[in-house]
Amino acid sequence: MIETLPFFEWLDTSWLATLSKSYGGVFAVVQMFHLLAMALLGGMVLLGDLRLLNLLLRDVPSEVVIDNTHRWFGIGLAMALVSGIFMASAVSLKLYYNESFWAKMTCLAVGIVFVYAVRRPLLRFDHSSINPWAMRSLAITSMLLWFTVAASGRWIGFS
Amino acid sequence: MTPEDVTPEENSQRNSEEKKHQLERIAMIVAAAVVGGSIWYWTGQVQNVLEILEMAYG
Repeated sequence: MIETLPFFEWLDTSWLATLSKSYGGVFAVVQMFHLLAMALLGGMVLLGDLRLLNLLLRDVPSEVVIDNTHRWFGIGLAMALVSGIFMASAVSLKLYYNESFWAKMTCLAVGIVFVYAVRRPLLRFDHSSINPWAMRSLAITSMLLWFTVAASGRWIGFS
Repeated sequence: MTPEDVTPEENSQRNSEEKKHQLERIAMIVAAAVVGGSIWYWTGQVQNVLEILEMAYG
């Protein structure tokens, strides 16, 4: 098993941590970008997945919805990752011992692998040729994973 | 038709179909694992909250 504590100890004393701990205003602005990124990411996930489930935008081909949402999903994910690392640096040792944080990180890792190794490659095929149960599976898995990433992030504050 | 008669286009199409079926299977297996995992995780979290509320309010 990979020992991650040294990384969190290093992050806790890094210049990033100094910046995030010393300047409340900078932390607040970065947190705002993190929330914006999550709203963008969550919105794109919902749009794409609810279209795959045939629940909305039925008059727009699902290929078009998926192509457009995937692009913005990538931007939201990159923004969330960068701002998340900065925010984590302020409380890195606390996070290391937090169960919800690890649940979030696990779902985030599974979510990223799932999106780029399964969902995206499968949805490059003609959607009408894909098994409808596989389409539903993609949508439900994606929504559950990203919901858990966001909700367990919020849960960190409660646990 | 012998394997030698298969054109490169047909071969490529067959590989593409195989890849699609493989991805479909993976999607369904991952979905089952994620649904199961989510139910287990969130049940545990809600139970924890209920225990804390019981300790606090009886």
